[in-house]
Amino acid sequence: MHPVERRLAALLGTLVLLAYLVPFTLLTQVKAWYGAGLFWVLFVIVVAGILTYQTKGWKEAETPAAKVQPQPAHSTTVHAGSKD
Amino acid sequence: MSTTAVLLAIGIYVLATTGVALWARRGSGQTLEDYFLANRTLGGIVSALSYSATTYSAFMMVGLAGLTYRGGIGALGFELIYLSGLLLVAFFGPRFWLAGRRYGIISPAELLSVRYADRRVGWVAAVLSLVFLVPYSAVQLMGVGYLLQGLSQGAIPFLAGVLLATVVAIAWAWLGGLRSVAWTDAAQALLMLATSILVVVFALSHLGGVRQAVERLTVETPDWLAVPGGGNYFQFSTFLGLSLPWFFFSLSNPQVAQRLFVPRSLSALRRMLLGFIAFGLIYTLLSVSWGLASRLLLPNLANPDLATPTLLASHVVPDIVALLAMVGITAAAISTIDSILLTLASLVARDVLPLAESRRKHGNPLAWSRGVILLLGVVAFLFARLQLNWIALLSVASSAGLLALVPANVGAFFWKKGTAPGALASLIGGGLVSLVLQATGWKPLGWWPGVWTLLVATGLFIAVSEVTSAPTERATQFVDEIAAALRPYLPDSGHIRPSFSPSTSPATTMGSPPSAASAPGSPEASR
Repeated sequence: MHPVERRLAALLGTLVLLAYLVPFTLLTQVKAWYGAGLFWVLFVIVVAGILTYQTKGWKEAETPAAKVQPQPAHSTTVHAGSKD
Repeated sequence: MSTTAVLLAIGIYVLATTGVALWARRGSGQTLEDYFLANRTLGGIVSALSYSATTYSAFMMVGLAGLTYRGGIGALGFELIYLSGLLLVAFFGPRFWLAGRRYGIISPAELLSVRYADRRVGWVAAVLSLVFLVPYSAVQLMGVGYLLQGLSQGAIPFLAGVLLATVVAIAWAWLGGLRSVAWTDAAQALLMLATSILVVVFALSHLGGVRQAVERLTVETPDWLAVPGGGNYFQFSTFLGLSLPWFFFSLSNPQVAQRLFVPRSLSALRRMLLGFIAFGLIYTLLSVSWGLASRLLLPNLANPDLATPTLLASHVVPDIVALLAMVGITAAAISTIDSILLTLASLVARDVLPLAESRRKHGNPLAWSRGVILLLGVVAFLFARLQLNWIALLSVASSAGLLALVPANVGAFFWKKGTAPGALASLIGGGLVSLVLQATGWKPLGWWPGVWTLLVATGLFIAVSEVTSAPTERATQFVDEIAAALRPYLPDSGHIRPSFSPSTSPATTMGSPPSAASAPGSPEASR
């Protein structure tokens, strides 16, 4: 994994961890619209923002699907039970 | 609701959507790649809508609304944590996409066969998917049967509803493969969204508007606005057990993992990812709002799963709106079933039966694939008709059981030491653990089957891979080549982005043969 991806994975992983922990610790007594529900909505919006940043380079890959000459999926290196 | 109105609404829906399926099949080719992947040419918006309709079944407006009715806002957290699981697509999506083009891969199970250089891995992955997803499809069919039966007050018998859903799902998948399925999905996704907005607006109006509804929730059911929620339903172990399998849904469920091969460009893949997240957030908020509104409008239901049908049958929403909602929920179910049938057919055609290589012996693989769709549809129909306990069990176990596919998929791209025996042990061991725990109802240490499935599958994958030999050449080629091709598209990677065409830079073109130039870290790899 590229270091850029590693950093983003760590950031996103931390956010997911918080999405599990915060509502079950800090927000259990906040019984209102601005409690756990709002937290989870904001969490998803932040994740979507990070993904928008992470994938911004894909925008520049707007060329049509490459006319590739794919390798056979099960070429000579693929045998049932083979171990290289 | 009158039977004539229900039949008319369903009739219009089926005819209009079949028209879309027929229109979409124009220009389709005769190859398996065209049939199962629309020749890898779908645009981003259609891909996003189709991904949404495939992912979101009748569960949302019925099951999730019921879960909200029962336990409150924890249902929103469970579903939004699932949605955040789409972050996996940001890492695995382009890798699947690139590998699909590089190796001509059609099914997610085939990807495992290629990476681990052993067809048995794909075979086991395909069988695992069939074991869990055919019963899951059957239960979706049953959902349509019960919905139509309930809303027509028995005028449309259960079996007639099941038969209708089966025939329609088979027909759309049969007609034009993914082209038909994707475009009918896209139309149905819009229908699902429009009808759910409509019913929620009416329900909230009945409560006096959003502000009034929120105030009533705060006063009358405050526990429903926090976790663990009403009746302490969302204890942490329950919440984790419910959400964990869904967090990995984009990797574990082949009918959505296969969609990563389909977009026509990385840009289209990006639109699919971001478009789906937007759709998912709105649809989730609508489904949960509907569940919370049900809690206020029908506070004494004995069975929370009946919240949606009961509310639709009441006069809170006008009959015509309830009718549209019924069509929207039916669309949600059928759009999931036809996608699953198509993907399972590709698994059978590509991974279970070695069709591609025995074409001369067995004739046209496309005809075989269509035959498989018909067969799987009939089996799902028979399962739905029989209503056996073990079918429901397998369906419930599906989200946890398919987690067994996750470690092998992660290892395929990120761990060169992963071996075929490791992947096989992980798939079989994880699948068995899931089945046993689900069948016995045993929750060791209080944790749900999904947690144990993931732990056991990961442990077996690592342990067995460590003591067996990896297919070094293939693993290195597969992992490094894809990582190198992806690098220029990472944010702030500092690389010049190449034109994604084989005629420009061999090093970054997936179609070019592996060479030293494509080794990671070499400057050529980035051009």
